[in-house]
Amino acid sequence: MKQSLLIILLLFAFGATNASAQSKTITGKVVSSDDGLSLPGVSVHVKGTAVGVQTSPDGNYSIAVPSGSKTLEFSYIGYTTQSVTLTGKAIIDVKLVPDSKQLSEVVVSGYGLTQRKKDITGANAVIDGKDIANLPTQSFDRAIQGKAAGVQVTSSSGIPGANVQIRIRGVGSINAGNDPLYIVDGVEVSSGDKSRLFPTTNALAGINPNDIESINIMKDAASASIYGAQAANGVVVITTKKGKSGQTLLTFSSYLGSSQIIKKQAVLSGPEFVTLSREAVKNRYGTAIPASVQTLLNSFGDPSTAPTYDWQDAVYRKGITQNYSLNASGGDEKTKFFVSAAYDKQQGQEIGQDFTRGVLRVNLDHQMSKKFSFETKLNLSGYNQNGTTGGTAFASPNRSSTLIVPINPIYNADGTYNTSFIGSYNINLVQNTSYNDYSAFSKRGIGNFAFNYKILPDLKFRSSYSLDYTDIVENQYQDPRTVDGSAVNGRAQVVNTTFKDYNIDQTLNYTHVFSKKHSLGVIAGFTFKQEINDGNNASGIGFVNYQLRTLQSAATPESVGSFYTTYKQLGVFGRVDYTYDDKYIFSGTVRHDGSSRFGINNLYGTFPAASVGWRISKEDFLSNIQWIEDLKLRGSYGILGNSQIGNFDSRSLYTGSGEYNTQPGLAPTLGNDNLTWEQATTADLGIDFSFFKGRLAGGIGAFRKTTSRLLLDRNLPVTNGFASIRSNLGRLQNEGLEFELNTTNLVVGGFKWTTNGNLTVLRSKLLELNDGLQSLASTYFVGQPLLEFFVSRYAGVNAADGNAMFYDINNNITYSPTAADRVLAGSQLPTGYGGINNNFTYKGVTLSAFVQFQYGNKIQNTDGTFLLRSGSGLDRNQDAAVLRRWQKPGDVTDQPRAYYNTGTPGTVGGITYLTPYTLTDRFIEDGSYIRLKTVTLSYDFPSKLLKRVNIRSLQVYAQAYNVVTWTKFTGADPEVSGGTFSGVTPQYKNIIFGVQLGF
Amino acid sequence: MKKFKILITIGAVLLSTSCKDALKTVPRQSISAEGALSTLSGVQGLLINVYNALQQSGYYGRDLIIQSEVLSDNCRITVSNSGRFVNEYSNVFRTHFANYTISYDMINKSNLVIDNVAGVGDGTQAQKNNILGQALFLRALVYFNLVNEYGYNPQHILNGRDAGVALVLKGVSALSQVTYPARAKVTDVYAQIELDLTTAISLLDNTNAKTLVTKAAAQALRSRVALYNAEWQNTIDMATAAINANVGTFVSTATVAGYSSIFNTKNSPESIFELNYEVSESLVFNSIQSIYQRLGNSPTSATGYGDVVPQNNLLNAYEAGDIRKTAMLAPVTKSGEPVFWVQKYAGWGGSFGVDNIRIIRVSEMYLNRAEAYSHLNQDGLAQADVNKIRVRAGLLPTGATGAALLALILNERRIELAYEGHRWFDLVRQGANIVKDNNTILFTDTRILAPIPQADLDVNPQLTQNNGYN
Repeated sequence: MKQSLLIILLLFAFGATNASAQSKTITGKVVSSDDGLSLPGVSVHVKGTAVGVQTSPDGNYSIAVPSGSKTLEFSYIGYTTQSVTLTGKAIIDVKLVPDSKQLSEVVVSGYGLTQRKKDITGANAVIDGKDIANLPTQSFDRAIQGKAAGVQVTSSSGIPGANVQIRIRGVGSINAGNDPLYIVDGVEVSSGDKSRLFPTTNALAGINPNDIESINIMKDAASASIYGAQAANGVVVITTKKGKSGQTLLTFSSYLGSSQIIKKQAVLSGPEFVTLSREAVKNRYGTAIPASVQTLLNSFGDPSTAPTYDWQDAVYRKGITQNYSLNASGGDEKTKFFVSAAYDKQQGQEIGQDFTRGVLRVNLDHQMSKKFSFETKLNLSGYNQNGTTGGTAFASPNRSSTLIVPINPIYNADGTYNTSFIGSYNINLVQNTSYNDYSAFSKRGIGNFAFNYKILPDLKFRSSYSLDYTDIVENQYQDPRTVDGSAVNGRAQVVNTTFKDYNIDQTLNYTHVFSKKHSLGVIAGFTFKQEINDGNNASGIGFVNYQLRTLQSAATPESVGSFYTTYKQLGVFGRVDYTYDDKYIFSGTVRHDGSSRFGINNLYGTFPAASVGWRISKEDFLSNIQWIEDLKLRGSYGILGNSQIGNFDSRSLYTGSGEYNTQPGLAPTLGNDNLTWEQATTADLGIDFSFFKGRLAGGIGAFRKTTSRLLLDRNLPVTNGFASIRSNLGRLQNEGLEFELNTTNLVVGGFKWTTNGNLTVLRSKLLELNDGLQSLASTYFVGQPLLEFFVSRYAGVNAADGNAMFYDINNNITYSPTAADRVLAGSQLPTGYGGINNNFTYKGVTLSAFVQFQYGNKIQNTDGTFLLRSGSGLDRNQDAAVLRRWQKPGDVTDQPRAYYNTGTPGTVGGITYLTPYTLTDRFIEDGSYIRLKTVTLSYDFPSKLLKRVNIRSLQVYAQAYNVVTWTKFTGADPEVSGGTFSGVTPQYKNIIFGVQLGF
Repeated sequence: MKKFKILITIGAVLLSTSCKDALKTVPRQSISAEGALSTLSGVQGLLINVYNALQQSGYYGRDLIIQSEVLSDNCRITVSNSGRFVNEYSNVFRTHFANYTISYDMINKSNLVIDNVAGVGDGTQAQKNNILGQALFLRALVYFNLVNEYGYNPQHILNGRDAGVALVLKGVSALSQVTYPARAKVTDVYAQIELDLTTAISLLDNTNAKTLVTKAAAQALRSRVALYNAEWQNTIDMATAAINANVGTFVSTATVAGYSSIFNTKNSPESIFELNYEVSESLVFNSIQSIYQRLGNSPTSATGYGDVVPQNNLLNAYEAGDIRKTAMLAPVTKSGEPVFWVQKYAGWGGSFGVDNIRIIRVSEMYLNRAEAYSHLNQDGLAQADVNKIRVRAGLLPTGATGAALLALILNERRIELAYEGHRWFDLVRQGANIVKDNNTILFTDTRILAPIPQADLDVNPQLTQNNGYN
């Protein structure tokens, strides 16, 4: 081999010398028409000859052109090949036009398979790594929000590093998981919130978004079925960057910025609160106020002199965001590498919250011989989150800061923390946060080793071994000086959790083109996976003082525990791809899967899928229409499984449970030998197009996904000691349309305007429940969309007396609605969502604005039920909306009159005064929103300038994140996972300034 | 190529060995039914779980006791409150005892113990008898509470509504064993309870600690069941046997300190059966202590609620000079309202919210016996028993007879056992109206019985709802 190479080189050298005798040299520079940056490695070739050179790192070339040559050809991956007629000029500068991405792009699907996007007959959404790099989002899943049709992304919380919920084509299950399967460089990685103590963590935050080359989201059966029983919720395939042979490229990027809360809730001031309280008491008692209530009221002081302390200002802040990342890539013909390191620190917008991460990646590829190659990928990360008590706890700053009576000072006059509070919300949040510890430290290692062997030129064997290891250590310390800690003289808790995932894949892959027209690809494989999840925890109480903060100083062990669980799965699969003449495309997949989670009677299942495509643009009758570059019809059908059920749900077991007299107990579970996967049958139809050289490109798709064998709890009489048994019953359906459109709107004199947009409209419907039930948990109703709200209806405020009115089931006004008066009030699932990005570039300056939206969903504003009680309790602050309450007959408003009703709730004159804030559709709000997600202004310095200081590229940028939100929702943030706004830390908005520097 | 062949061979060997039991997983934190029920330790583990279930705040840990007090005429809710038990105090329709599900959970586990203990491969006959006796007692205790919540007293069946609760006596550990039972008659449930207790008495002795079931505990519960079922001689005999067993010792010191000593130690000297709580099992805010008082009886403490306080109705029932009022009620001003905080559960188990729950005290045995004697017109013996309670409380012994004596015994029972979860059941077993500070519930009212959970009615067509809840 080496010898032949040498000979070729020698011949080439001779040829070149030879040619120079009778040719002339042409020089020039090749740049990208896109951004004017020089393109290194462009192949410059004299048409009709063997003469060719490559451009240098700065894009320059020099080529000896034999006399009589007429045309020079410039070609480069990702760019349209350009031919230039030789007119005798000695200098020819060329601007290469990028390929319309739609067609050239290579998509990585399961088990090392790659496909040209134009050959794809399934429904895939592909996201370029560039679109998610350098965003202040900690994890890539948050960054893809609004960027792919059919993919709904919702952050669970504004805590930095919080878990993100991804729903591909709606919610397909009620009781099994709804999370997609994540594959990183061929490794099935665990995802989701793995914390057991801390409010929220995100396992995917262990991957540096800047390392990602591309993300392919496989949505339909034909694409995903190679993952069989795990694929029903879609598969997200992530490919990280690889080195390329040639010069070693160094890239450094960094950003700095600050984050703050997206919206402050408007609440009453001290005087307003006292006025409301007085009014509420007067409305109940008139002048005959009981002494105890009068005492309470007196303790508030006079409205005119009541102070106001803004607890939201006290718990929210401007947090500093910083990120540094460095990567190097390169290699030679045999060995290629990509290494990167990154450090992130984001202070939360709420005091006490932050996220700190270090990530390291090494990707190595080595060609040992012509036939044998191996590769290894290693991702190591550690990230620490500090946080505060979350949710609805009284110690939760985001919840309680709106509810603390505003006349409570934060600090005493002497600067110490105030601990004497008026009202039910009696925890000093600032003190609590500064005294208590609450943290989660996640460590993650994802390693993969694979070797490839070319048995025949077209037949490749690949063997891959991987480990995904996650370890989370969570710590909590409740300081004895705080309310929660004082009852037990301080409490320390430690919770350790690990996940170990082992993966073995063996595949045989055959590709061949017969007679130039029949292109065949076949893959067959075997895969095995085991996950072991275990952990332990301990807590102790009773500390000498707050300076002692670890378990060994605790006087009394409070609890200890450990757990272990595991599952195994194995599968065999095969797939055939056949294309005739680039025109007719067929693909078929079948996978046979077994899982230890299933019942003994149903251990194995088979998941087939097939798809067809027809590239109409290749037909003769369209081939002479110049503007049609590509037009493809595609359709697929198949069956996928959802095996996200409990590891031992199918078995009857006795588990350690409870203790008495320090003796351990045992409790039985009721297993089901027939328990098995949920089954999603998906049908897809779509059309992909690219017109006018890619200036108008996109796709339209329609899908229907029917989930059957839904895991539901078949109800049993509780007299058996068990209320239910998990069984495969029930069906539901999701259907929708997906639109993707990429347009280049304007290209004028270096100015370019492009738009990328996607829109998904979808609806879900519950088809069948267990035991012939028509509804489940007041949330699921047969014939209706999933996750419905079922509440009685608010009829507004009676203008005559200020009381809250409701409709009963017969549409008559009632003051005391009952459970029988409830009606469906909308679903928490959106009927549509999407995103639009507009990009403007002019000579290195780029402005982009990305808008993300969703509509048609309802949010239950649980926080609202605490904030809109018309002063009924005198124990908590109220929303500023209460200022427009009913005060005198004739007032027309949506806020009922103030009425103090603690102590003797129940009925007064036919009115149950508790109902103004019990859950009715008054608190079911429209959750639609449009959010200007990012605005980025960047400048790429001209390479000419940079060359002088030996810099390859330099970009500076400023970016605003979560800039503006338009919504009717009255809570702090309409981005809510789970449909209920209750003690959620609202999202943050960021402004960052960044630099990206390449050598 | 050679290398490749070696790799293929290694791969094939690896695969064929790993395929064999590739999907076998072992749940290290659980065991199979056969494994669990074939050893004494496994069966004992199930029994421990029943005790553990008794501890929960949905049962003896809080609700069973507090609900009995606030549904009846004993306790009320403070003006400023946390919202707990507010609806129970107002007897809001359908707000009632709600331990149906957890009761059958305990019954099923007791059934599994009863079904399997004889067949375990290890252990002595004495050990098996002990476990069987405890399980029979626990099943009887839970059925007794259930039948008194959901069914009328056998002596006071209203309009022929004689349905008790479903009587399930076989353990369920597989889908094939699931049954859809109808409600048994109250008298049948009582008969089963009596049978279980009689068997338990024959199996048990008094060697167990009193935080576990003993023979005396079974006799004492048998006495209570007999009292509820108006079997007066049985009441007397069983109370006498329980007293004489000396598992619980009567504290006779007639001082505040003396009376307090019944309640201010972890293990009460008076207990015949009490539920043990370790500090690690603290129910903290969900404890009885948290409902009756705040930490250190301090109205400004943020630990505890102190929401449930005696009704005037009960305060007025105390005679002047009653030591128990001084010892067990602490006057405080909560948010401007003068109230009394109950001291029977004041965190004597070692931490806030940790108290052993006294399920049967020896004082109850004297009161059971006094009431039964009175019904049998043996007034002298009745006076002797009730005066033991009265004298200790700093009150003069009574010389009353006849109906006046019975009324006095019942009032004495109310005061002595106040706040301990007896009151609702003591009223309902007599067919009495419930006259509260805020309203009166007639014995004919629907709300005298708890509603059968709708979910169970939906799934089991054999089941019937109590009258008025349909």
